[in-house]
Amino acid sequence: MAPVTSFEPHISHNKDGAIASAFRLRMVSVLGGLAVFLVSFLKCFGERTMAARDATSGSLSEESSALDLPSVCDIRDYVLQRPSQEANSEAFSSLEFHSLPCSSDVDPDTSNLNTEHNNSWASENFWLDPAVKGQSEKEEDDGLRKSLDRFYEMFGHPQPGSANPLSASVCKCLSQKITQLRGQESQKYALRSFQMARVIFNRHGCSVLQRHSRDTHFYPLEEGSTSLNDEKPNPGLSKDIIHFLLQQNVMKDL
Amino acid sequence: MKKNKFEGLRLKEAFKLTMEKGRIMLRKTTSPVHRVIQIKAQISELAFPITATQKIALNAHSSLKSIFSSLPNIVYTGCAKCGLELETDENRIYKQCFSCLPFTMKKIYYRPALMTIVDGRHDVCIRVESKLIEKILLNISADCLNRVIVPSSEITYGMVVADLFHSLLAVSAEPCVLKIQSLFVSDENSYLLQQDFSLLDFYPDIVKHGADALL
Repeated sequence: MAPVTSFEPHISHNKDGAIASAFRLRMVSVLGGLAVFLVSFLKCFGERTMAARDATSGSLSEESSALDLPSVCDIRDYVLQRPSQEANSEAFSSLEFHSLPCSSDVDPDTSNLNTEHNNSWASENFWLDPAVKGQSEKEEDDGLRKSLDRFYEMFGHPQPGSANPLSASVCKCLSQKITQLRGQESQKYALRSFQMARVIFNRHGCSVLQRHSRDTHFYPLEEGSTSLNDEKPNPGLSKDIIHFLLQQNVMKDL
Repeated sequence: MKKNKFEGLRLKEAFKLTMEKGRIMLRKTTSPVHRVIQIKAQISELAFPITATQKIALNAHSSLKSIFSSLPNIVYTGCAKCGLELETDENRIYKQCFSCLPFTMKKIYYRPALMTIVDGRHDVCIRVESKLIEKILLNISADCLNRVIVPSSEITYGMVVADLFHSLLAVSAEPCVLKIQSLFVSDENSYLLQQDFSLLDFYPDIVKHGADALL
């Protein structure tokens, strides 16, 4: 008669650890991808329970020896609190039971916001709550936008009391162009160029225009533009804008 | 069938017309061929390589504040004569440019950039030198980014530079005219070994130049 070999799950006769072992094995098979985390979680919890039992009476008791473990739903909720970690599947293998979501590496530390933001182009950063980072960034963005718009308007008009007809003529010409460009979404770069030019002309005067205007009296516009290229440019003033103003003959009445 | 718009251009570059002994000869050439073209295209990205592996890329998704925050990283301190980037020693003192000695002046430059332009279906990467970046930025030099424009205002040239980058790279931005130098190097079988583009000039749509698109 051939020997019959049967395989049965090994049940430990150690009453304290028997049910814990069986439960751990079932949890691993059911939850699959959360196996590593759950094993470490259950091991920790089981040890605590076993220690508590050892402290009490060692005699066999009729009370239930089932472990009072949190439900699967509770564990899933805990994991879902860390969406940044879920982005990287390797994170589960490195998760420690003791590292709670409030640790410094996942807490959106606002004091480091600007530093992190400065490095955002060079490295990837995962934030626990992207909405928090996005909100403050948007506020800063809006603040800078408003400051710039206010600047272009405030310093884009001649000072009251200044009776320079050339400045007034240049400002009027540029303002007309700015009004024309303002409604066109695709002309933002041109709009900024004209707005900045208006500020520079109001701030530094129109001597650069007068200089080039003298040249154009003797040379055709194309050759005059050669001398325009040779001159050292003014910061914030595009040579295309100067060329535009000369074409508009802003100095024709002067 | 041409795989891209540059296929036909490459084949043209591989041949050179010469006049020899009274006859027109069409010879294959393996020497680098330069060609200057003027195109109208939209700028989709400006990437500033910082190290061999690190770069700062500005595009339509970059916010105004993030561009402004990136400015310290897209400029560098270099020799005022040759533009070579100068390193600092352990005391954070800039080292000298040995090839330009005894000239020791320093200057802040914009880093050379890689500009990606698109014309619908195709995109091309173009090298942009520091001087041309300065021209695109309304001649605001990298030296004065921290300077206020008007003493009674807190707005600096750097903020305006960020605004210019932001407007240039906007999704709805108008295509601009670019003068590009192309460099093609082919082997004896006209196989393309090297293809390089560099920006020679930039013409915004302020004063219409009437350039035709060649791509």
